[in-house]
Amino acid sequence: MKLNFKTPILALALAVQTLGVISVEASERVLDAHEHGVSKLKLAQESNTIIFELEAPGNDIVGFEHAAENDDQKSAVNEALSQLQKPELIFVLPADAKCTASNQKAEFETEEDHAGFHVTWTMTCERPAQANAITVRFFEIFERAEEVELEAIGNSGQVAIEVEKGQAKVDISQAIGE
Amino acid sequence: MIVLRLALRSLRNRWVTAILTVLSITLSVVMLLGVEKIRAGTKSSFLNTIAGTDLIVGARAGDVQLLLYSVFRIGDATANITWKTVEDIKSRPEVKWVVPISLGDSHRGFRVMGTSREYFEHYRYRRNRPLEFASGEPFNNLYEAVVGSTVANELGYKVGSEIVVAHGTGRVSFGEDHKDKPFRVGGILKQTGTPVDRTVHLKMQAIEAIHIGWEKGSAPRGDNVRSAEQVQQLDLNPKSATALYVGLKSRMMTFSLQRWVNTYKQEAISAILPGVAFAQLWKILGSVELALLAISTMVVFTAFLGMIISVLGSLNERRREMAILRSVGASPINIFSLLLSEAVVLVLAGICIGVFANFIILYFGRAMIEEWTGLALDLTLITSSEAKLMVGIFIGGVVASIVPALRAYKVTLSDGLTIQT
Repeated sequence: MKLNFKTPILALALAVQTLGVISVEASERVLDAHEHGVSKLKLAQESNTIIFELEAPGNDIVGFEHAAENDDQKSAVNEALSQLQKPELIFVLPADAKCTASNQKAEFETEEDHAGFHVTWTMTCERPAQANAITVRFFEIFERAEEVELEAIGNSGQVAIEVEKGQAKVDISQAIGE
Repeated sequence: MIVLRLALRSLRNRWVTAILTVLSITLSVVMLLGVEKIRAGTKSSFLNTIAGTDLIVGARAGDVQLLLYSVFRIGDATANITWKTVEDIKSRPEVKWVVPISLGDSHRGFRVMGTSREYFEHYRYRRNRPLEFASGEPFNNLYEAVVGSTVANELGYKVGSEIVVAHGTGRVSFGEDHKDKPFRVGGILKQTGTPVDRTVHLKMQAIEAIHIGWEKGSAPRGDNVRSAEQVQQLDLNPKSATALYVGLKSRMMTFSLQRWVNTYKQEAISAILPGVAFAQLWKILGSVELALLAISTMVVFTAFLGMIISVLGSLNERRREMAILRSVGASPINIFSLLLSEAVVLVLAGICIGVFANFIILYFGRAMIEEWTGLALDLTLITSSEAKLMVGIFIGGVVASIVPALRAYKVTLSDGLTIQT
């Protein structure tokens, strides 16, 4: 008998039952990107440059999701922004990779029904092959945050990882490499 | 050292049992490694079903669902993408190439997919392998098809064979097919181990052509009937696509284009990163991985059980030997370590022979396995995760052999120098 990638197909058949649930979950994510407790970190690498983009719901960082209304809230936002100005100290690449940060930009974006932080930065690495892991200090700094959904694409491929509170190091070698 | 030499001599004395024990450990190691290699191979071939495509665009749906129908041809799209939208995406500055695909028809149980010639150029699998033709070439004219290797093998097609496409995707066609517009097989692809093997590829325009007059949902009648030649004169530009494979000029633009697609106002479409969706899908399949590992762990466990039984069984007949050893000055601890070292030698031999045998099997069988299953297995003596498994087996084996060794220790203590019965 010819087998022909039947192993994955067989496994797929097993998975089909659960798919209803999964697709609902995924499409909800498309519609509502500001799930409480879940921030998104995206990395894209091309040769020795890696660009980062972080989207964090306001609730996770400062505890509210609307424009700052009083002095307390304003100072909370400003304090958060000053920390997010140095995002390379929050999501830290290995020292061996010899990366330097640039173009750091942090903003508090408010819309009608939610507000969140949008941070972008660029890392230029002398040895990108060594940039295969991230030390996550995000949960220490922003205690309300529960999870970071990480997506990385790079010289070695694409990868998606859910980083939970308490996880200190993430292996991204499947995506980022030489 | 003397204990080890004694252990080796003692094993040589009971060589039949020793060899059988080593054999059973070897077999369980080969099985465990084999399962592990197949698991790793399946995973990597699964995750590398499609490569080189930066984004896949389809009707707005969950990542996994979009991946299932666009790559595995499992299930159906919730909607098609209109050609106007396809043009919009094509004209984005980030986009290097767009390959449309169109699903919906079948041929004797295999899915028929409309696409463009560029598909054969841009589709990549297993990191960066392009599709290759076993014979023939990409379609040159409207009524030419390119079939995957499984389609060609199972249906016995060669370049020049004539095929008729069925309307819809059911295994049994409702007597309605596109027999008025038969296709000629123009090319046969080499095996890839991906869903491409089970696909009949047609030109996008051909999909349009065979559906002319079918707008009401059934075969055209009377005035609506157009011959294969007449149809060629009509406007066959595709009006929609089921999904798009998109390649970008730079990887850095992936997320921004994805966002643009996901917030595209005119039509509900979404873009997925194939690698990310594959990772999500594989997570669902994680239990299958675990089941495979559980089965082979049980085999290893059985091998250890066999080892314990054979050593325990021999203890009684070895009481005299133990007594003699005691009489020449061996302590019960010496007896204990003698039996333990015998077991360690057996387990070590089993593991080493097993690893080596697995490599030999892989070395000679790899090409055959790839030909049969499309599964490319890595030729490595041992990977780090396999090494960990072997260390686990070794520790397990030593722990298992403590049981008979302890028993021998106790027996020699109570027996002393003379056997009491």
